[in-house]
Amino acid sequence: MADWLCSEPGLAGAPVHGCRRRARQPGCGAAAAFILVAGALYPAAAAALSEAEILRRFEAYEERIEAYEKRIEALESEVRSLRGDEQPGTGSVAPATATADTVTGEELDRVEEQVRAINDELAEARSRLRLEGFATVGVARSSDNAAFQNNNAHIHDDYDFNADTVLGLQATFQVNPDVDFVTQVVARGVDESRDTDDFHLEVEWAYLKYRLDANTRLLLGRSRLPLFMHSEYLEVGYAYPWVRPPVEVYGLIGQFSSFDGATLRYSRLLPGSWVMDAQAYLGGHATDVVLAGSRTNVDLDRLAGGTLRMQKDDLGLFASLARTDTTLSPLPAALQAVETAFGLDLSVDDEEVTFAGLGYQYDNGRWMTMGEYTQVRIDGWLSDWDAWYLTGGYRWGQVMTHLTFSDISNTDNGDRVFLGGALNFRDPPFLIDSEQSSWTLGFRYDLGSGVALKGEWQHVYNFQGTAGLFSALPDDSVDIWSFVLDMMF
Amino acid sequence: MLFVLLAGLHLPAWAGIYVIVHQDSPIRELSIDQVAAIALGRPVRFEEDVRPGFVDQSTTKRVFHEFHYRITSMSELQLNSHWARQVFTGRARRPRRLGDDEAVLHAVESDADLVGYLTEAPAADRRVRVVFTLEDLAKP
Repeated sequence: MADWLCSEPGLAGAPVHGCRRRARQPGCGAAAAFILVAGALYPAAAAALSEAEILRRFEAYEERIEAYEKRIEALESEVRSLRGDEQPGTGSVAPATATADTVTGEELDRVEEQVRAINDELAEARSRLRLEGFATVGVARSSDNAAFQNNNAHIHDDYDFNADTVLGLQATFQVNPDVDFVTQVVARGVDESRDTDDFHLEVEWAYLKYRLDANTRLLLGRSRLPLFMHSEYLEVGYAYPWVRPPVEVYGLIGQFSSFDGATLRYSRLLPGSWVMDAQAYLGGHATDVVLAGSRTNVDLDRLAGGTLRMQKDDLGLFASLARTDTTLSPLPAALQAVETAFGLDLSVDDEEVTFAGLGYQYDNGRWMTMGEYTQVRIDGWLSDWDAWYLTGGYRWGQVMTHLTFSDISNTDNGDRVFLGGALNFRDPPFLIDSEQSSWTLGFRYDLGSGVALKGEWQHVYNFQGTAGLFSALPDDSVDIWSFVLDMMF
Repeated sequence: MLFVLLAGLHLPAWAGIYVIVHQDSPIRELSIDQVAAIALGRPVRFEEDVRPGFVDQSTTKRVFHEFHYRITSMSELQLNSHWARQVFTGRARRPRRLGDDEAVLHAVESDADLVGYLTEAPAADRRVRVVFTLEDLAKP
């Protein structure tokens, strides 16, 4: 299970143009459209809170807000004129009207109280809906013609603006004090090597969050698959130092970024200033991938896992475990042909996949270091692998410089040798395996108010005869340069 | 005379950080860990059904940096990453950042669930209560 996971045609979302335009004008109308898109793309969430119902509530709120705004304007102008009458000379305009004689301080207080009450109600109505977003605009170039796997689109030997470009919008709607509806739609740049349009939209989050008690939340719907330390904000570039999380660790299963099911989150303060955040999840997910030249569906069934985060001051620790049963259907034509020709059974049917990961982060504001070690084990002949990285960084004021070493190695190479060595799926044309190491040297410059500029140089080598995380056999070593602007709004 | 002299010694120093809640809030007292947890959007359990929200001060104010240096141990850059991670994982809301003490006072007076902080002890007639204090801080 390596190269075939590298290219996903993006099944979950239909191509939608103009999504960027929508994001620039986040207002209530846009919010309604946004929720509608999310609802339309995700029937389960829509069933829990129907699109029509969501739209109806938004419209009702919009009307109420407009009405309040009008009333506030009227009352404010009344207050202004009253104040002008009471203290002639201090106001910019002091119209001497006949009512001036009848105005008392009490009346003025009453009107001001009314304005305050309406303002508070308005704030309450507005606070029930939150719109937030993140965006990355980037350019990247590789020294090799073979397309470099990214969590997003591929990187070629020509300047490519799509590879790291991402736009995400998140809406949180408070249904009642104990229930929130959270949805996040992500648009990614996709290059021509995949048979989809320039941008496609995916609903990464769409869940109802129930507050069971002060420490416990139940999430029902679609959420991020939290396998890795940075999985849950994988595309929020603003949240981490690199242009993209180390691809050796995050690349192969990065596209299984969300799942449908239930998550229980428990979070609390422990003695000694430790903060614990634990979650357990159950569910499944199916997605289309291109493997050995044909489109096939990967179904993750009976997915179950858990994560534990412990945080104390500058130190954070992370552990993750997961398992699932994987089915590949149909088996790609090339593999079917091999099956028929040699009488082999290459089917991938409910093969158990187990995942384990450990990570740490330390950041004292000046020095930063983090690392992750992950293991993936798959029953049958698909490859197993270990992947890890270590990062160190130093902040010089607003600029952070960082250095990362990252590696992915297979652990069961013998399992892909058939017919006494005559057929090895590690070799071309199959190139099922992915092994490589890389050094990444980069900087992050925080420009303030939610904007960061990043650049990095990545040197990839040590392919061990595999294509690594490239679409075809690369040169002995490949250099990749990337620049991005990350935003959060 | 002596009193004036002593008071004068404290003048150049930072007045303090006064963490406040609404006067009707059941919260009587907070530990520094609880204040930090509330300020970072982490869950804190109380005997009563309290769901504390937080209002921060503007990053242009010295007290913002003082508060986070002393209490959450985070720089502005670390906070930026922290909130990116909290917000986009649906865990917590980014607190509003208000311009000055008066804005924080007004916000806390009008919302029984809010926790905020001031550079000076609030006047007795304000509808708030101080639940945590750091006083006589030297420069960091």
